[in-house]
Amino acid sequence: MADLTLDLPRRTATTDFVAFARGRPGFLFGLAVVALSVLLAVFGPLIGPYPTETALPGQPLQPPSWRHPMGTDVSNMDILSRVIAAPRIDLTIALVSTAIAFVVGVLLGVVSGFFGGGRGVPRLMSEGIMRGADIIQAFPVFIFALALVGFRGPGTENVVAALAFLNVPYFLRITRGAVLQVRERPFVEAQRCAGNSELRIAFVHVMPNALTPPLANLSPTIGFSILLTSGLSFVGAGVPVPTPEWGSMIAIGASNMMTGQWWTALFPGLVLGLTILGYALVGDGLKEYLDPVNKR
Amino acid sequence: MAPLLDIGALGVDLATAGGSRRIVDDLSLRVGQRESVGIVGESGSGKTILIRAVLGLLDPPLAVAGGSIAFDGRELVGLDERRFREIRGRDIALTTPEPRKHLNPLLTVGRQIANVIRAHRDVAHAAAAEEAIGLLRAVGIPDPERRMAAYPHELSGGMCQRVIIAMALAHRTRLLLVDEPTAGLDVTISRQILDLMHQLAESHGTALVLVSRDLGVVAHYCRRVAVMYAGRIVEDASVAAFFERPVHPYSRQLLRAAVAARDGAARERRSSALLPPAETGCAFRLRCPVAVAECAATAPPLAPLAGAAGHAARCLRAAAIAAGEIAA
Repeated sequence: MADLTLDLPRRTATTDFVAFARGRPGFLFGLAVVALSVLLAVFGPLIGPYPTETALPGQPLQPPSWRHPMGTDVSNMDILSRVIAAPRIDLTIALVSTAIAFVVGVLLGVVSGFFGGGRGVPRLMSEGIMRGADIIQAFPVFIFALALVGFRGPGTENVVAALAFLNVPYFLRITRGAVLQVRERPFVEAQRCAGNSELRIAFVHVMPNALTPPLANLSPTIGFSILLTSGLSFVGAGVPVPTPEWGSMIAIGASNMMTGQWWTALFPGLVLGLTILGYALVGDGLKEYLDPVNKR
Repeated sequence: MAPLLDIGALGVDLATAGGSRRIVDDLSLRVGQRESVGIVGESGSGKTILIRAVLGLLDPPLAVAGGSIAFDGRELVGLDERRFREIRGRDIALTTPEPRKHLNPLLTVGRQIANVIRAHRDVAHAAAAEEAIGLLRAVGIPDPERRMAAYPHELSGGMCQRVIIAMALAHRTRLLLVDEPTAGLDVTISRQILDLMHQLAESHGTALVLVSRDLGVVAHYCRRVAVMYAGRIVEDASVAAFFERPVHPYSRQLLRAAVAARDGAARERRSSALLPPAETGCAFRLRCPVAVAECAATAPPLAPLAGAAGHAARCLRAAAIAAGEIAA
């Protein structure tokens, strides 16, 4: 008898992901940007040809050349070396603040979403959480971040704290929205019938099923946090100079741009823009990838 | 022997903007140890609400408004939530229609069964997993060791139903509530599932309450049947007595409709079947062929029939119908 075997290509999570990414150039570009930014955050300060925080001897404000592909700034520091060293601080701030906001926001979102329809203390807690989020979100983001940093003084930890604080309501709301849907699904009731406690249902059964929207929003939030960090640094409320940081580099270069030394602010700004675009594209792609309806 | 489940004069209210509405009323039902009782009735007759009331899972705007539910001699109405949780899933379990939707899509079925075991018994993960494999084997799932790692979307509807049964019988369940066991499954599979359920309930000494729209299923798997209409039980009889000579006019229409559907006979067109239950008097009187003026005045109680032990009907004219004096 003939041996009947069916040769199907092995399908794993990895092959699925590759197949998904292949047809989406924007997503691939975003992935490349994210990977590069992470690499630079780790190795950036070691790669650059010149020191990143000390002025070089010689003329300041040299235009782009073979020696200095992005030129030098007013303190005669090599801009390329500083641009590729900047992700260390920018990305660290963005990652840490987003991670904090994610954890806090998701936990609060599960509490407020799951117990929102009930009565008594859980209901009050849920309402309290939502009104707190309303208050935070009622202020313009940048002004609020500026006020927070101004209140605590500039410095990396304070920027992280301010960004985390600002992003909590964001994750809180999208998690809450997902939880409100998941908690109505039959399996939640089935878990109740099996004798599980409400707390266990909320965090073991509902939360994992409500994680897709907040996860898909991680990447754009990181990009947005990088932008906000740069913005704060630009106005002098963020990372203190001379630490290489895109926002403060743009700020240093801005005045030179008026006098014709365009390279001082252009290159940091360009890299900043591309980075944020990349993170946003990855977020869009992941949203689609994680959505079971769009998948295959 | 005392009944396992003794529901007495249970009422359930639905709170609406214009005051509360009684949607389950004066519902009394006894389920003996190891007994199997079928509950039949049309959509909206209160079957599912009854099940949820027994499990203590009525959420506002629904609430128990009077009456009692005694389980094994213990009053469940007003029972502390923590105590209730110990009973749910351990002593009283539920199987549901649309089994896949009732499983957590992100956990393997093995993990979910183990969770149910661990919810009520303090056993180690490994021991619970071991037990779960045994349960999967008991519900007839081939290659249970491998299926343990399967997610619900990787199993067929029938398989998922078996998993639900395994979860329901993970403990020495005393009472198994079976809600619409045949919905969404094809005939052969539902037959297998029902046989399995029945056989496991027998061997575990579990009492069954089987809620179904399918009279055939009830006739085959139950010893007693209760017919619900508009939130009340209108007839309660042994399966033999019920199918031989139902008394309540509603039961008679229900049976006739089922028989007609089976025989493919021309559908009995009754525009009266679309009428809503009456608000006063007997709820069924608007659709009833033998209603008299008195039916509008008094709501009949569920009264035992003279000369037929264990047979009760909620109809003023039950005696006359049973005696064959009038044809309903």
